[in-house]
Amino acid sequence: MPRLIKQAYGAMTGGTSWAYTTLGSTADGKYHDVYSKCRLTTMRVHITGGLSDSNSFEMGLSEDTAGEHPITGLIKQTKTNSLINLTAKGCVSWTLDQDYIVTSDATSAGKLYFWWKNNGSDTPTIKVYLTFSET
Amino acid sequence: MPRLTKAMNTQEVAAAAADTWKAIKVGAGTLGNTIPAKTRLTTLVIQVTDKDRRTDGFKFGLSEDEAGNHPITGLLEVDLDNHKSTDPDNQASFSHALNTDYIATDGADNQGCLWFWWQCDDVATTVRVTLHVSET
Repeated sequence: MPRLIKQAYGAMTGGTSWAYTTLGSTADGKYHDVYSKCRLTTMRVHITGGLSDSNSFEMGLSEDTAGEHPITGLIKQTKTNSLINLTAKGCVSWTLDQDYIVTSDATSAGKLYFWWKNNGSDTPTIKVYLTFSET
Repeated sequence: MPRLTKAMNTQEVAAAAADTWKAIKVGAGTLGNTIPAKTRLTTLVIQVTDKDRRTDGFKFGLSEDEAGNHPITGLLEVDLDNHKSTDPDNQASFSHALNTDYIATDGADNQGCLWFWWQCDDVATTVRVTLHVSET
């Protein structure tokens, strides 16, 4: 049997200081809350506007809105051109491939918090797609 | 049970020009199979079909749309160094392990296909692209 995969979603306007967006389900049913026991597989961070070139940024996933219960640690994207086309949008695809089981530290079961900080001066808008699956 | 895998091939495609981006459709509507809406992107193979015009390297990526506004891999690069063929008289090739889960979003131009964005360094050559996908 193939693994059942689903996707959680969040969007935010990033800045030069740390901020987070909530990843989980959407009202239209296209995206889903993260299972309490699952495998986090692929995270796609997609710059949608406000940043013509992504010069480096830092990111990570946390179980709580304070960022005190991180689950990935700091992930740095240092490539100066994370674009596939300088006239189009930037994107980073990150392979997580790690197991996750919700803990009592989670702010809200089913939600994860994507923390992000841009090291440039822009305030880009981004979309985050987190794919997760059965273990 | 083994994973069911499928491959999507393009025809031989010429670069627009050296150091110039070009989007090539992969999947539904081309020679290949339809890319499932939920799948695992496994392996990308790029074969240089013109052995007389061998490029030093490629920049490439996959996008959900022809305009490149909904990229899914970000920028990938390979340095061919003119020696990525098994025999200097034969065609160059390289493969890239993607191993990422993919679920189609509203950003996709068409369900069932993706766009291979590609730029070859210094020399405008021709390539054939094969994208392997599998059951998750």
